[in-house]
Amino acid sequence: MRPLEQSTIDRAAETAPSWLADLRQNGFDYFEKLSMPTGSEDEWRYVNLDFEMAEFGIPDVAGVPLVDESDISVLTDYAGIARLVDGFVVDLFCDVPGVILANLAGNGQDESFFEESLGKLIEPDLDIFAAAHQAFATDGLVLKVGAGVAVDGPIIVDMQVTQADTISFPHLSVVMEANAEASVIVEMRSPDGQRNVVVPRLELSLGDGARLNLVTSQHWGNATTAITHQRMVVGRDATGRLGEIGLGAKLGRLDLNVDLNGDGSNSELVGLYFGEEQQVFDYRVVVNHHGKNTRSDVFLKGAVEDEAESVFTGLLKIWPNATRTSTFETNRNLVLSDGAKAHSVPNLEILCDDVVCGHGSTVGPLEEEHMYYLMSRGLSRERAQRVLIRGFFNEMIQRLPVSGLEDPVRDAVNAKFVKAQAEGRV
Amino acid sequence: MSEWIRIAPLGDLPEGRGVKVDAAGHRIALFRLGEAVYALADRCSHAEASLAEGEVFEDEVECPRHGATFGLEDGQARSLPASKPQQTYEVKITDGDVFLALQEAS
Repeated sequence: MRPLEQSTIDRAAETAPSWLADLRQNGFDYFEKLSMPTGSEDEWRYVNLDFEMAEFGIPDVAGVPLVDESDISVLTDYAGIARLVDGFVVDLFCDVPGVILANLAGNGQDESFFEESLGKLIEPDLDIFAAAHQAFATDGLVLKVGAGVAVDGPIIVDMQVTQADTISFPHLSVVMEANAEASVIVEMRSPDGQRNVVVPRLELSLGDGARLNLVTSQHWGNATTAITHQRMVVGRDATGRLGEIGLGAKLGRLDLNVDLNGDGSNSELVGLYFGEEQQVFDYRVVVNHHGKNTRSDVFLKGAVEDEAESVFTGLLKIWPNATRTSTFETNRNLVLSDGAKAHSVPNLEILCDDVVCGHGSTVGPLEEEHMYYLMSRGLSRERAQRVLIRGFFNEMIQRLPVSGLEDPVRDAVNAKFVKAQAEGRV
Repeated sequence: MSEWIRIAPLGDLPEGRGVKVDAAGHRIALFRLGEAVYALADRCSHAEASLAEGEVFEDEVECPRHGATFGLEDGQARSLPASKPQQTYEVKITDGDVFLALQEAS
């Protein structure tokens, strides 16, 4: 394993083109300057980072890929697939004309292709993890959909961590040229009980009139700390629809930032999360409305049981001149055990007139009135709880922007609750 | 005589949860418990919901929408809000393949 030190940067620079070596060095300079969040910073106030980065090393090579059952095994009709193991792309297939699926280490494309597509949307001074990603990412996967190309069937990105005591930096850039259309499913997984850190980055860039549907299905193992940065930039009349399924990880953090730059651009985020034991989910969602006549909708629903904790911090920011903006954010939380916690902080910042904005959030247990009604119809308390939990999540499962994952997600959510019921935890 | 339709190898059916199949226009929910397979009409006799999406508890399936339960073997409604039984279909397993008889078994 390689340490998070200058020597690793120097070694990588020996074989890298100068733009990449410079990018990494720049990332490392910030990595050295920035410090680990302590929890006193507003952005990290609900998160307890109980490790030092130096405890982990960067894998030298990809480990043996996980082949066990996962959500994506039910998907057979896909247009392309890429497997990213421990930060390395190990498998790649897509033969749709007008679509390029390529990785940096694979040398399938000329240098300028990667120089234009990688590391453009996140600044390394964002936090120490973003800096580390820029400095130490070993490979980069790029999906580029050509102008006017519509891809049938989803493109699957299988992101895995397989090695204990590692820190890895899987990277996906999606570049949608004008009027391109595609669907992407990103599966994230690692074995339970294996302590590691993963810092994935998803950079999504939508040209004018492009349409991207992307679902992230997060099933990291119960000892994995995942700090994900995701950015989406949306051009004129383009639409980016995102889905987020949060089920795994010890700590799963998603820092998502959407820039609606083009006039008439749209974004949607539909998400669900379900935490148990001591899991922590930390969602930070910022939508910037820069263009005129833009629309966004953020809708997340989650449940926590045992001592799990969830955080939703949302900011809808309407910049000056972003007239005729329409935007909404909603966060609903079920707290199923006394020891569990859900924090919900939706914010609006409006610097412009002539806009329609709204936000709403709820935190609470299953409603007693609903329980009473169901039990009055002959259902036991346990059964009534299950009916309400299913209904709560089903709304989100049906709204996911890429179809095909409904059954495994529904099964996973139901199984989590049924197990907790059987063990008397809820 | 009922007509047998081959559905899938037994090994392809997941243990302990439902699978929806469409056989000659019939929407059927299949449930595998070990070496046994049970087939019920997929649409709950109480309201529009798919039993294949419901959960299996021992020998019964719970409707995902309103919580009614049905015996897997006989299709009998075991708890409210359903009061009518669920149609069942005859199943046989030959050489590791699951076959369904589309004529209703009860």
